[in-house]
Amino acid sequence: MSELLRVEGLVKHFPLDRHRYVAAVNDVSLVIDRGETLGLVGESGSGKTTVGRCVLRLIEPTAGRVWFDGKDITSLPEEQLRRLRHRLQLVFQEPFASLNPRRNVRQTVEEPLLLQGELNARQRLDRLRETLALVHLGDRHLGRYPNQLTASEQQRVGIARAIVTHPDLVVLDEPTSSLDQTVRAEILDVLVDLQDRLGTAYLFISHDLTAVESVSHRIAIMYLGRIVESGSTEQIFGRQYHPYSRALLSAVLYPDPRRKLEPFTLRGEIPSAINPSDECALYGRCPIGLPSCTKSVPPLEEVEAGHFAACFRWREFVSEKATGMSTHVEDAPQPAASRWAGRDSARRPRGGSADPEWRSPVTK
Amino acid sequence: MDVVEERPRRGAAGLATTARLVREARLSPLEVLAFIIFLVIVFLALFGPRIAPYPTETANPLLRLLPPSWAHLLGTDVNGMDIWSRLLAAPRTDVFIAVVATGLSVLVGAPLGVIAGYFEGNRRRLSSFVGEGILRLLDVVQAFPVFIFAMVLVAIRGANVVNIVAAVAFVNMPVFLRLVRGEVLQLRDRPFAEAARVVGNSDLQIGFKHLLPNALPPLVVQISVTVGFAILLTAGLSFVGAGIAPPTPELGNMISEGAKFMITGQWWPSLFPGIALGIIVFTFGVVGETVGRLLQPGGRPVRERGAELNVGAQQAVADMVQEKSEVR
Amino acid sequence: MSQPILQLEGVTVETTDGGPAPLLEDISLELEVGDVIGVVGEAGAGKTLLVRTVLQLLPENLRLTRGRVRLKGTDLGTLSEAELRRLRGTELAPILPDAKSQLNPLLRVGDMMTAVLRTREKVSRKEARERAAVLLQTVGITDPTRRLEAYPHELSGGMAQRVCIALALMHSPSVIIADEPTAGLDVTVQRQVMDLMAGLVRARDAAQLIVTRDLGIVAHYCGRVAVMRGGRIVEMAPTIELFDSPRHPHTRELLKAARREGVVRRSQTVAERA
Repeated sequence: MSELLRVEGLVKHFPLDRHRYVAAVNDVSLVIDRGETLGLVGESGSGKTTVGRCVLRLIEPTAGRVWFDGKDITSLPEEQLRRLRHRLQLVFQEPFASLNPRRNVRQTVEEPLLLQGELNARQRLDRLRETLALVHLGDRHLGRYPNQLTASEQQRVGIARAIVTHPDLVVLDEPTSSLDQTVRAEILDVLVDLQDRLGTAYLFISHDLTAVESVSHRIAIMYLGRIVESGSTEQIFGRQYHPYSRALLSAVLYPDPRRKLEPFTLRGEIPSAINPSDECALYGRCPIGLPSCTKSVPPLEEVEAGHFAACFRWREFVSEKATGMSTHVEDAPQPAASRWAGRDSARRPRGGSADPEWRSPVTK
Repeated sequence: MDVVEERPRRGAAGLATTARLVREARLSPLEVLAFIIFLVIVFLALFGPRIAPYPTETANPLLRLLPPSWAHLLGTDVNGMDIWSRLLAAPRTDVFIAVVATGLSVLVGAPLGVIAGYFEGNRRRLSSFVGEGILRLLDVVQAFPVFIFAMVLVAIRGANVVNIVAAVAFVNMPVFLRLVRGEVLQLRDRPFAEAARVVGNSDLQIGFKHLLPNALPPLVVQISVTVGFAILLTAGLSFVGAGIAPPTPELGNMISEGAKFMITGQWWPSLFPGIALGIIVFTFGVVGETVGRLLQPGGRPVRERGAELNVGAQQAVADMVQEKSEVR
Repeated sequence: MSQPILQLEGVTVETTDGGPAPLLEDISLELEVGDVIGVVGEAGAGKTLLVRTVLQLLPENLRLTRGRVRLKGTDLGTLSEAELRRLRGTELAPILPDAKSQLNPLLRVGDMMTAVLRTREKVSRKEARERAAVLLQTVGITDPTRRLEAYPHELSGGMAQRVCIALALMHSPSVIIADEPTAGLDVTVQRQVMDLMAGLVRARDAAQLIVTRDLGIVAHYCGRVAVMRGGRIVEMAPTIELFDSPRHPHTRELLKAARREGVVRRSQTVAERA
């Protein structure tokens, strides 16, 4: 697999006044391979959306570099950037708001092709039809305006617009969070199917962990502008090395009443991102924090092959868990239908992604 | 412009079609009336002088200031000309000047508004400067009282049709500039504007292809209202003698001429043109509002009950909580 | 068997201008003390309308044509508007989505809370303030005396929802009607808010109706679940039963979508790169 996107040391500060600024993104680095999905997870205020916008250079980063397909696009002039646009696309959170109310489906989806200027009218129409078919829309939708479409159709039009030029990378900014459950499933299926067919790489930005889990190869978890943990989907959902990741995952309400809720361990709410000091951002809310955690920002350490966490105390944290901090109940009968079964992290051996027994419920 | 096309189409349609359109658009009786008067005004502007029963610019000293009668429905004026005939002919002058002038204002004001709105506070210094510059210039223009300004303009350049059009266009231009700027200012932060950038549109393309069409409904309302006021302004200029001079039939000079005789009891020479002027300005206002409403995507009354209900329901419950919290 | 607190008997709501089908049809539900019932469905299923019916807040053009809503045995349809209004603030407490927009932006949290308290009970301003502070503490707001001075825009979404819950709990309601109480909130905040409401319902011998489209909430916080579609309850069962053996095709469809069954998860590429 070859590298498609590389982000290094990305920083974005929004100045408030002379002395204060909002540190939306602090020193974020990530890599996405061709055809791969990286799930970027975090709550509101974590800076995940800002990362997505900086990658597309819709906002200018304060510091750091973004390489796309080996090319540094951080300082590319607007004119050249525009010529790259058809390879770097975006799907929005609000399907309706992201569509121009005065343009019909055809005008909306065809526009990227017109701007790309590589296809003639005949070819454009073919590509248009082919793309709409991929998102399960047909000719009858061509003349419709956004307010004549259902939410699902609107979002599929948004996706069609993004993929019609066959881009290498699509940033998906919370593409399902404003949708009903059945629609959400539909959209996620479309996205996975498209990736298989076109080999598009995704940066999937979301706070919806169940959605992220089902489409991502790898996951990075953000908290207050920094990546606190990253690894393969199996690694992240298998065992968390960072207290925040653990809390975030334990907060997920899976649609399975037999899956016992783990106690939620974070105190209070996400603090302000204005002029943050150099300390672990979770300090104060963290169940295992020590005063020493305030001395500096914890660096990302490789805790397993390909699995990184930014916690000074990750060793203590995981061993604590192994000795009973986890309240995962094993004796509850696990229904066969549950895809979430058998995820007790304590049972999972290190490097367990290779363990066939552990993976079986998910990969089959 | 789609708007202009829309009007005759609606009028020319057969009775049955019109009835259906009216039902679908859910026009109120007032709006229907305004549309009918509007069509009459358009008709008069085109054919008024031809259907006038008497000559409209020929004085007849023998018939001075006759009160309304069967021969002269609205009486005659100081020069002995039939007021009804002149009223039929007057819209041609006023409407023509107002429409051309407003058109000019839009053609200049709207694009400047797009640029000013789109680039205001922009990250790039030069474009931001352009945006700001346009606005400061506007402040200067708008600081003058509209009417005085037009008067001075005509006084300097001479009272002919071209100059009156130019003056009326000039004083109305800031209205459109500001309106479009305001619309663009809030449209540019909507997700679809960002989407337009993502697919590779340039700044100007985003502004003119994506944002301007969305500013259309309020723009149409404003055009219509402005035409009404431009008629008023034209008439006003003529009234003070800085516009169209008699004997050309024009509402302003008709009112002006007749006004002298109000005190001596001859009310008809200025009352009827006055009423006509009022009706015209009012009609353009109502028609503009209505067309603007119909142009709004999804602006037609929502028929799906579900949607209506959800919004209503949430509103009412919110009201309730609000009510609870407002009791002090 | 205790008497149900809230009882819906064959509730049917129709439009007065002769719309084709009833918008709510034959809905029956019973809540007893300690019950938490979930109502799930997609947009347009009639969930919000159900909430409004229970609160007796139907819009002008809709009418309850059949059935009854009883609160502790009293038919709400027979009460006057004034009586209903008093009831809504006390016995029946609504908690709604998007809490922030429901708080009056011009009032401080403390003023809002004392005002609500003093409309129903004769207490001094000072005492009302103290009670408001205690209440804020109960809903998990740290530093309540400072928060009393805050305006709604200074609160986060989670905090605003907590304030709304505090407002709803002010007069010890016996039924809490929560309509998408955590819509728009982050998962960790959602978890905190849901835990809070569950604890409060238990501690206060109340009952709760949770209306949501999130099956995750229903799975963990409700004892029984009603699945709505097109204005009807298509299936109602104890939670575990419903999730284990859904009967109605729509229930199955919802569960399938929520569980993302049949989705093959992505192969790993990270190991290859390493």
